Amino acid sequence: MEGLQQDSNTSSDVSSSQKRESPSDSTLPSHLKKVKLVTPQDSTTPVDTPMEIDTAPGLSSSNDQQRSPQGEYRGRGRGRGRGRGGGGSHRGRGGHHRHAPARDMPADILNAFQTFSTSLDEMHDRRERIIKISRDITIASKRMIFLLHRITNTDRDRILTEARAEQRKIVKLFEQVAVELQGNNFYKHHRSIGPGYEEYVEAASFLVFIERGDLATRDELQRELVDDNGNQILPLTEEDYLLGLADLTGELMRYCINIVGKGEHERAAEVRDLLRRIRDDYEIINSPILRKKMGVMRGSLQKVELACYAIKVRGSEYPPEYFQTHDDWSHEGGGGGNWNGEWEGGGDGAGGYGDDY
Amino acid sequence: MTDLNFFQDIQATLEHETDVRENIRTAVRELDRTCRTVAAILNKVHTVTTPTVIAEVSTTARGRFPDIHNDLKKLAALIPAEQYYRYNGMWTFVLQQACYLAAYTTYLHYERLVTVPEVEEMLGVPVSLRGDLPTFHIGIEDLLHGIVSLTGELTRLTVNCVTHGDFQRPFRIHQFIVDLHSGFQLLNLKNDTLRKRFDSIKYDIKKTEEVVYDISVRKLATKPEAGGGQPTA
Repeated sequence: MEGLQQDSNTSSDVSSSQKRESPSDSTLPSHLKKVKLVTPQDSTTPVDTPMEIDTAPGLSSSNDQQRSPQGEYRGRGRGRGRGRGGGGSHRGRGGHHRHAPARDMPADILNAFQTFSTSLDEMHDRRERIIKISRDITIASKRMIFLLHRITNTDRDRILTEARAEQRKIVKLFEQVAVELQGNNFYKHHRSIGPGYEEYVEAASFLVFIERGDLATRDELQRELVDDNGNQILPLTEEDYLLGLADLTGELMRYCINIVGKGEHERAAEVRDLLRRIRDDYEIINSPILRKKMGVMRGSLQKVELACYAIKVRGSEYPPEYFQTHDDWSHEGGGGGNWNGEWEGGGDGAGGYGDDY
Repeated sequence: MTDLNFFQDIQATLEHETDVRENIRTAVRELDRTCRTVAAILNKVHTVTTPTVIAEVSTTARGRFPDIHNDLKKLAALIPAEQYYRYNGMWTFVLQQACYLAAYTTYLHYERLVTVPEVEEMLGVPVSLRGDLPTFHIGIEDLLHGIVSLTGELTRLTVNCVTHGDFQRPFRIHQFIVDLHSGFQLLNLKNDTLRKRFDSIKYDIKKTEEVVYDISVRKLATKPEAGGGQPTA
């Protein structure tokens, strides 16, 4: 900061400093520009500034390069230093911890910006905390989904109990983040918590689907976001609900392909019909927020439809015992065996439709 | 929409939201127009930069702020409580513009940075730096964006007042921009638009420095309060 002051000073009596450095050049604007360009950036390292003046002006650009890593490090203190080289000057993590410039900077600007700085830090810190928990929610939800994919007829109850427990853990995370999202902050930081919400809706609705084969309603999912005393922790917006369900269709696709491999063809057709109805609804709603997910959803449905087609055409060539044996094998092969393997086993019989899966 | 399999109630909510957005859009367009009118008035300072004209222009502009005030009131009435940040993307740009106009008008009049109470008074909307006010307000980022815009415009003014023979003002503007830049350095900015715009202030400084240099080297004027080591030939 001090550096800047100094620089601004030297620049206003620019002719004298120019003379000191290289008298012959002092009238050349092009040369001057070179020096000027560095000026504001010098301010990170006030101590260096006097040296800077003494060095030949031609070196100033390389000096700048040397110094920029230093600025980078400070910036990374916040964990987000993805900036480019360039003006590393203002990145200092503790900008306001450094001594404020004693000279020149008027009290009104100083005071105003010190206030701004406090509020800005508070906001950024809150956002970071939210993003962190949002990520935890995402991870836990993903885990829950994978758990549910491992379900088989024999260990159904155990896995459902486990999934319910997992869900309570996720709700606890929501409880943690709720303090950061009160009042205005709910929508202000909604973009930071959004991914967590989506993933949670996906997991929770997948659980509901496994339990009773139906689509969870928004009210129902919102009712699950309660603390131990039954108080609502956070609301579930329509937007997050729809986005989460859009992701659910991907899981339904996997699930469907999975049971096709096990030979549960009627059930696969049910899932396909559910997917179809979801898709039809989404086409009608046609909200701009959903547009990105629609393509994926259409793809999922198509895959499922192709799988059902292949079963009809080629699957009939196999005796039902083929699938039955296969199912038994998958149970014995350790209930928790991964569904992908099961699927690959079934793929031999079902032919080409698994290629793009 | 009775065709829906699952989402009837949600569809209704979404439609309601679309209506709200539609109304907001209209109000924002109105506000934008008013802001542009005020900006056009302020632009006149570039054609004649004598102190009297500048004072006149800033007074005229000041007189138009009740219009902005009104438009903001209408917009504010459309926002449900605690949902300011649900829709704020629709008006941040215009609101930043309004903040800038307040800052610019104030600078032309007093040659200093606008204060928070002044912004509140001119725009008729409370400033909430922490953004926790449930009703319509000016958040810290919008305010800062408005202030960054100020430096660009003042740089332009620096050039034009030299053209009109006012050789003293560039020194003052330069000092002001440098001070603002130091002010912004007190902030820990994220890698966002505000950071990028802050980065551009240094080019404004560079430009005003060049103007100051041009004036000094030709001895058209000297720095008003000699800061030490001033070359007065």
